[in-house]
Amino acid sequence: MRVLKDLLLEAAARTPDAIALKCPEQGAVRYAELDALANRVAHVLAARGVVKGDRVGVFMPKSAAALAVMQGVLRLGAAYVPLDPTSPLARVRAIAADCGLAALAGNGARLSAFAAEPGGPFLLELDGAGRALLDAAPARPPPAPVLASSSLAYVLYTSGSTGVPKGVAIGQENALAFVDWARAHLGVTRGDVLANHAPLHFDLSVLDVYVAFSAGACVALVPEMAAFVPRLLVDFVATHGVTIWYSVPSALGLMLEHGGLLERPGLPLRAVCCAGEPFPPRLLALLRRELPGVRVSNLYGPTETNVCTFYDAPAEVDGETPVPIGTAASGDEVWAVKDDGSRAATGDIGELLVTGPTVMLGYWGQAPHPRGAPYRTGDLVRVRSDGGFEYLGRRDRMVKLKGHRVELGEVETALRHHPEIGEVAATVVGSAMEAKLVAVAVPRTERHVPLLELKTHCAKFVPRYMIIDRVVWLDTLPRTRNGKVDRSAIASACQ
Amino acid sequence: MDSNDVEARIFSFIAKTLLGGHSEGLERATPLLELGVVDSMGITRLTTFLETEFGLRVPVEELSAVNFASIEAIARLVLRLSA
Repeated sequence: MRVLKDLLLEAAARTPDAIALKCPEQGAVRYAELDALANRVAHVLAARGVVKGDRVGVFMPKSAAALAVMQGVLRLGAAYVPLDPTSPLARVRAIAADCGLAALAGNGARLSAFAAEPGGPFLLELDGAGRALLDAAPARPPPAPVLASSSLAYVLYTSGSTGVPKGVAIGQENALAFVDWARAHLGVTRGDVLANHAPLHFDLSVLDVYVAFSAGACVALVPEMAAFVPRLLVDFVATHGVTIWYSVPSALGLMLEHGGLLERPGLPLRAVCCAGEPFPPRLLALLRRELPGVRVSNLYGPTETNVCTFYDAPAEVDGETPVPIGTAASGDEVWAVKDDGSRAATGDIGELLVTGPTVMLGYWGQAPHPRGAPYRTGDLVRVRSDGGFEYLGRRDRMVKLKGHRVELGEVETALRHHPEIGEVAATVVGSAMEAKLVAVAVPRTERHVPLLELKTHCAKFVPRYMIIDRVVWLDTLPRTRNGKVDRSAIASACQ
Repeated sequence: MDSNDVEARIFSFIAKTLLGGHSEGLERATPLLELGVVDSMGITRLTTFLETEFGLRVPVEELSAVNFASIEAIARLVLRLSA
């Protein structure tokens, strides 16, 4: 049976000298080199007691080393947990405790904060002193564990509504079903260069990295700091000869409208995929008009199901009709259910449900998601006359900030820890690249806590993209007649 | 270029444009990235500002967390790039 780790193993055996990845810091890395480093990581971890079924955190900026750690972990039959490298230590500790990390890999400077903890995870340093340990380990493969299609492959932590991040547990088959579908859908071959725009803790990165491995192609890692700087993104696409681009639409929009992508003739770009946010119709029309030869796909799927629908844009678009999320992908089945529980027909609005091979094993630490049972996405869709779906919004209080999933409840919980804040409600003002996270707060004392002080407070609890951008002070929170916080009045207070 | 002057110009841009005037407590050593004062969009605005204000070009390899960590770090970058 094929499992996720086989994709790199097979590519390294077939084309050891082909370029597996490119990144600004390390340059080009060949399949044989990445394969050998993954083996070294596996040997070092195994020597420290990491075994099949364990979880290993990856807490470092995206790099060849980070990818090698992820592959080394899989080779032991263990699962990796990619952590936002900008996360506060308190959050990393909470996640480490939640999923019982056996080891934590990263760069020395950030790992040192964990060093003094008895009973804590083994710390694998990828730079400095730790590097010698890796260099001394054998480059041959470790003994291959026996795995099942339902064996855990990785855990992706997302924002949780109660203030505690929750881990989405993805099995071997869940990931492979999507990767196989995406490779076939995009017709990826050895000559392709896929841009990895999303951070590694973000499910979008699964496509770039594993589709590249599965085709023996090259993945070019966009530095996290450059991810939204238009000119640098366009330089990146040109320098690395990117043929397949995948990102949130915001980043694509920046390249097209502010980075001068259209003024660079002769780029080998042949396919563009977007996911994570609604695809602006205006952007699709611009692509169609200026780059008619580039295939454009809108992909959809929460972390819990990976990509479960896709839409391939036709040659002619009007620039106004909402871009659909399309029809089922990855071998999944999708349908919408109305409030009364009946199946939504053409024109109806309902909640999107998914069943099939990409649906997660469950949330870490909770009862497993029953195999074959539908997963309720919480996303509202309209059923189109072509049988596809159009995304309308969320049922609950989850919002997207530049593609990041944010539960407003988690932001509010962090703010409530501040001794000078009484009631608080968080909301998002603006959309796409201009979206701002705003808190409406009731002071507990005479003082209105300055914005920077509140940001400093939030940074102790939540990742950077969940730190508020603005605070609005009110004497009381507006409430509806039945006593609930009035969300629409909150939104108006922030305008 | 005088480093105090460079810092002052960066300070005023960050205070006005990125913090919308709510700059109480902003210092030259305030960790801008860690506090989300400079986020993905902020990096873009800041890079554009540096390029027009100081007439320089920021190459991709200089776009590091170290160079944008604080007002004093950004000022050091500006002085280095314009040297």
